[in-house]
Amino acid sequence: MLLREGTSATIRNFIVLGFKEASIDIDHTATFDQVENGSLTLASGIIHGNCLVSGCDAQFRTDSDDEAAFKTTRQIVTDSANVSFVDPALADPYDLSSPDYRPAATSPALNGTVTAAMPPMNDTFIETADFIGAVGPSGGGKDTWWQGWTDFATN
Amino acid sequence: MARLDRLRDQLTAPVRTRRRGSPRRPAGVVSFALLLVLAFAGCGAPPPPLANTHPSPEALAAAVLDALADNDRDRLAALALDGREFRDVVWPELPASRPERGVPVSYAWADLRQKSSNALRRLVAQWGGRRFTLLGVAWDGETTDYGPYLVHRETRLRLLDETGREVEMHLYGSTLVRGEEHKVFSYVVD
Repeated sequence: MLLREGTSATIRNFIVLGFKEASIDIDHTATFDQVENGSLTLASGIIHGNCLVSGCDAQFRTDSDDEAAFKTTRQIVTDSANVSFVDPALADPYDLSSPDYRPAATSPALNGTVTAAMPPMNDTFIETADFIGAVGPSGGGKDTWWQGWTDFATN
Repeated sequence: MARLDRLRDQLTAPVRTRRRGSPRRPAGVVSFALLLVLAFAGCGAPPPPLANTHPSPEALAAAVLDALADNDRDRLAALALDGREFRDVVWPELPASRPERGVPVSYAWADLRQKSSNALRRLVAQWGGRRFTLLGVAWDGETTDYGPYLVHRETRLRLLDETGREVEMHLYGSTLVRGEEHKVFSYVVD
């Protein structure tokens, strides 16, 4: 997941899985500046099974941007609160035409291994979730919201 | 030295003591089996083929530049890995191919192909029809040795443009090298 030049974001309750390259790659000095001034933060997430076709060291690949920055991407992520590198045990995330992103009942995305973060105070847009990732467990009411308007056709 | 005589006797003894009338293994069968074993032990299976390769980084870069000047996207695509080559040559050497990782080759290839194809589309849209002269090839990124092949990342081309001005460009991303075979691994430029 490439965070391009100058990205400012609050990233929470995320799963980063199955990327061809490094799990998270912070690019350019401007983006590292956002980390340093607190405008780019990560917390409550799971990182696993990336670097499918590139050489990595524990899910990260240090490049010249990292070496020039106050911290490497790897240090930034590992210093973030509540980030785990366990298998999130999603049902079938690699099925190209019909993926199933629901966490299994025993998934660390559900069982408290990684505690879900709460939305910011007075935020009426983001719903509270008690799981990590975009899709909730089967039957939990938040597992099918993506159906009917997303398309997984290969091109 | 005298012991060698005994050794010779021991080695030949079984033949001498074979009982009259007992079946003897035909010498041809032994030789054929031995040849078969040696053939498998010595050579192994030939490496899976790579199509449309070039003998050097410069030759590959020149082929990319020619196809780009001709606005020929199919030719450019043929200079890069295809699905069979990824499955047979590349994938078995990647850590992600280990069964415990649970990642199907189809997923990894689809991801690589889609991103490389998108990058190729952008490359042709931006530079198709322009003719460059190659001066040199270098890599800004790391090189990974996967055993049977290498991958050089962030390919940088030193070129003369149509006005004779020297420029450096990243027209494609990574290069796969197997012996003297060179192919574009991916058109994605990071």
